[in-house]
Amino acid sequence: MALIPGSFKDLADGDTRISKSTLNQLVDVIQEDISGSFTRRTYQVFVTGGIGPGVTSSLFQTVYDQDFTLQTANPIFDMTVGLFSGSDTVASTSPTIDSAGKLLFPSTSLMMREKIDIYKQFAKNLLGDAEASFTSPFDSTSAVDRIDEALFISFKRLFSRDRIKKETFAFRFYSTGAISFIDDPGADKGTTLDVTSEDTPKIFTDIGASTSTRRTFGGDAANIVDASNINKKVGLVFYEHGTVVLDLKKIMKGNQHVSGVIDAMNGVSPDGILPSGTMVIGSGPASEETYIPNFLTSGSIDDIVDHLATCRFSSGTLTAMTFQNSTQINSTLFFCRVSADEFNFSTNPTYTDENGRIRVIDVGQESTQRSFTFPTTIGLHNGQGDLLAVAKLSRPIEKNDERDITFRVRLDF
Amino acid sequence: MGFLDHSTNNIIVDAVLTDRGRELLAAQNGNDKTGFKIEKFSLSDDEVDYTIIQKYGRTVGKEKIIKNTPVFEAQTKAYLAQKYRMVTLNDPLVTHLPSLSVSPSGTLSFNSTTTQVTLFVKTVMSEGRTVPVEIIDNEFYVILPSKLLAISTRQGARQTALDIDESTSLLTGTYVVTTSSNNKGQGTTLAEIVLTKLSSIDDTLFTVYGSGGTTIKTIISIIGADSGARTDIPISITR
Repeated sequence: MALIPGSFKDLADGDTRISKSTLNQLVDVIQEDISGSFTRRTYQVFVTGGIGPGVTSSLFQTVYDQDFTLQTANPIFDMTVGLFSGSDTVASTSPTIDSAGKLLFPSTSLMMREKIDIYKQFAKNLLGDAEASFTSPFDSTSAVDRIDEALFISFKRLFSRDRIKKETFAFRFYSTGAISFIDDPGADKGTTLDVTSEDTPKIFTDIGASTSTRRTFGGDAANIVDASNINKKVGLVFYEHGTVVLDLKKIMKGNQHVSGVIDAMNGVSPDGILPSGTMVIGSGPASEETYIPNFLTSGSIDDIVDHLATCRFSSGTLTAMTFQNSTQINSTLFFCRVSADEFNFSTNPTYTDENGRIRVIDVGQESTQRSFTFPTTIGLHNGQGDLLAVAKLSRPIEKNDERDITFRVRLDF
Repeated sequence: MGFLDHSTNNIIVDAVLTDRGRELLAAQNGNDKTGFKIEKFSLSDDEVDYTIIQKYGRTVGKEKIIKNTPVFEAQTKAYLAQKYRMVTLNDPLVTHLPSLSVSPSGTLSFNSTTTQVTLFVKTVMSEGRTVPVEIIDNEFYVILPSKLLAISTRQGARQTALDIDESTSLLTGTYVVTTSSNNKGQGTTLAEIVLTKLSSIDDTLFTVYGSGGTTIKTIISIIGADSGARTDIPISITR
């Protein structure tokens, strides 16, 4: 038997309604969260052996909204890079294929198979074919629109929820890197890999998505364009998947000279000062090494993602990336109908005095006054009276014998 | 737990699942009457102080309750969420409600020699009045910390697994005790409840919950299953 049978009222068949609604939340990622080493987590899953101390690297890095060692930190997105196997960048390293079909790369490159495999993994999940390539614009068959060098940003479900809302995605990106002494003889002769560009950043966005979307293997997808020139398509956004695929050749100046220190399989110090296990890229007055293809082939995934996160998204307090997510909410509405003669007495201990007399009826007025109550809480129960859900009113509401009330209680799933 | 913003008059209210609701939802037996299938509702008024009506009169008192009673956010522990429910009585002219009379009264003490206490619980009305027929108690619910105390089953008490709260190390057990039909014509029912101190209370419990590591002070609650009349009895358990 349920506790206090007189305190329950059965819900009739028509008192329950099911509805659907959508909740949108604005997500803002600030530059510092992407660039900071405390908010960007690396994973040492790739380890080389052989010469020198070896190279360790992540296959992807995760950006958090605060120091990721804290329990309260929330992961926002994963970031990694991939190379299309049929691209000129891959071909520039002159790979060979062994008898088992495995690509073999020269020692001047690093993590090439991993970069290709990551591209294939995204292609398989988003395009349905691991051998396929991303193109931007989506339908293009032109070779120049093929995304050969991709930056993949995958938003965590915590933030992308059911999907990213169309035409809400945008990010701020420094297309031009720091100018080196090769590109400008008057420029600083230091490295460019770890220096944030002082050029004007570009805004890339999915504007136009609501009128131009494709339903793909990986769900709805639309082009990402340069906000200052919407005819320039630079990547794709897959809304349900919460993944952004960016063409590095289009969002950054790939032919810019690069210089700096990267991890390498090197048993000795490259210059007598730097530690072993590193090398200098783009050194020397005649260096022709550029971000694409040289840095993308020689650098580890960590080196490349570090550069993009720290230098290309910058490290200020401005918004680096923003979007709205969508969550579909299934609600059940319960119409709790209380008629005039119901729930007019309370078991609240203050309802009666020490003699059990109901306080809300004045002495001597028993024949004219009726009891009333002030409900503040609505409980929803199963057949045997278990309390399954609780709803609270914002203030007490008077319930008396002249008043019927319908409380609409919404339970979201 | 914070208060709710009462500047809105919105009468669509959002519900939150209780621990029991989540448990049954996870069990996926929604078609069963004992599962997650919402079939009824109840109202309660835990925050309201009705003495305000007596102090200020019906008109001003009502306004004071409505405007000056901040309402807490929903409590998700099922056994705490609705302490005082509203009831429907067929007779709208009822002016008195029953209460529980417990003998012995005051704090119940247990120690190394006193390990059992017998309580007599009655639903009573003042001045010889009769309990309205629909709220004559046929059972009492006893809520107690089940790692410290138990109820002897010889009075027909049965423990319901329903409200056992395993999230607290003291566990909250609910027993149902059947009443005798003593003087039922007056609506006065009687239950004999034998509370037993458990021999398994160890040093850790005394250290964590005890005062000075020697005495544990707690409460048990007895609720009339039909009347909803409730009494909370202080308990003292000494090593």
